[in-house]
Amino acid sequence: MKHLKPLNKKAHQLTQADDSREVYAMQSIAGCTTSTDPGWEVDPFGGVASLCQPMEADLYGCSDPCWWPAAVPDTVNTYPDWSKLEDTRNNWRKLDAVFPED
Amino acid sequence: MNKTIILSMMLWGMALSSVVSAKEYMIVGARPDKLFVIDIKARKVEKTFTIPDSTAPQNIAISPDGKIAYAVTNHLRSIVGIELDGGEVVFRADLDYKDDERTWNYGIDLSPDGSEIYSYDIPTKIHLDRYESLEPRLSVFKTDAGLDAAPIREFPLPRRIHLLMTAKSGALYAMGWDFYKIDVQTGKVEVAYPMRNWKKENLSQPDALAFWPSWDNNDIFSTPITYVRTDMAEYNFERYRTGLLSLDLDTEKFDLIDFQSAPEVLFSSVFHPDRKTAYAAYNTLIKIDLENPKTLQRIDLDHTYYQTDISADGSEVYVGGTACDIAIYSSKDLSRLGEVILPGCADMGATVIRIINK
Repeated sequence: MKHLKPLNKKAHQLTQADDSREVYAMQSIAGCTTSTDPGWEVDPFGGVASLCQPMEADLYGCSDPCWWPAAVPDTVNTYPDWSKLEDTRNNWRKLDAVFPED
Repeated sequence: MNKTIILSMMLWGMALSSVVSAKEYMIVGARPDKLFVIDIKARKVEKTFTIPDSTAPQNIAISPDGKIAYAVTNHLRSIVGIELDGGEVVFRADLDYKDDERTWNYGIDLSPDGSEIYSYDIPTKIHLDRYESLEPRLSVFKTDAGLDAAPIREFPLPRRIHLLMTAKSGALYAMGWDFYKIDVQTGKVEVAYPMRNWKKENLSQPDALAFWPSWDNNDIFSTPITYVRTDMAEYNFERYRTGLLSLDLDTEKFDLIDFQSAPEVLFSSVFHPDRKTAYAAYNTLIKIDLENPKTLQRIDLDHTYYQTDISADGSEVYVGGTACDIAIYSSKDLSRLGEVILPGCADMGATVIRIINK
């Protein structure tokens, strides 16, 4: 950290933060932003054969419990209605995109 | 053949004939708000219910008499009881019942007499600038509490639990980083089977992803579990191992068998009712010999499925979850026997399969 300088207030607060607090592993999911499980990239063997086939088969199973926080909207807090689309294997082009309101 | 063997064969035959004579129904949820009752042997969806104020049904527990399905839904915030003959909503517990808390549920199960629901709740306190992770708890609800149910008992539980199951005796088991046994009256928790903390010689800590209740037709929980043989060379792929961890819900005995290296990802497994073979699935469906642990057969599936289940007579293996179809295979040779497509091709996602015989 000594070679990094904070550029904004939030980053500055981070450098001042008390780092002695206990950190828990992914357990409390009050919003998908609290998850850090990336998903979608590689399987446990470093390849792609053991990823879900096709991707749409895994879409809701992973997005509902916030397994893919970076790839889909936060269905727990900010976009609970995303997405009510059925048959995603055929309709994946109709999946909603979301945009911050402010 | 001695008398004990003859007697056990007679008892097994009587048990088999009693379940075979009952009609078998599969209960599954699907997005956004559906609960389906499937006549699985007829390959037909018999009833479709809409769960009110619901998105994304996940776990499901069935009352012991097979009349009510309790679905975790509303993005893991609500438990809704649906009467399976007519679809009437007879129970609802909304878990965000404290103003500054956001609570999620993962595990759910019922007491053997059907009078209580056990729910593993994960509360978070919502501050203006941060989330504060609170202590997870077991919440106990009365099943006759109606549509605004509140817990009658609460006890703290360890973190990272995702599956609850009630043994025949009434003891509650919870699978997390270790397997816990919980006294639902006092809240006393003990480690029933160490996993993260196991001390098995030459074995690494294990890893398992167990969200699926596959014990309806065999009274035994099982899950694939992976670990590493630390005494084997790193370049040897045989060092990466796959086992089946099981908990007999009648005798409450755990067992671990090692049956193959780790050539594939497996999400769930189910024991055949005769407990001589088991089946596990994800992108492949495999048949496992439990008496002489090894993989007997492997087929590729049409797409990924999360859950494996089996018919009461042991003849049909079902795979479901993820998309909108339940695929049916022969337990004998894994030949494809059929499928059931849900109306509207509603995605199941992470919802579970439950099976009732009535």
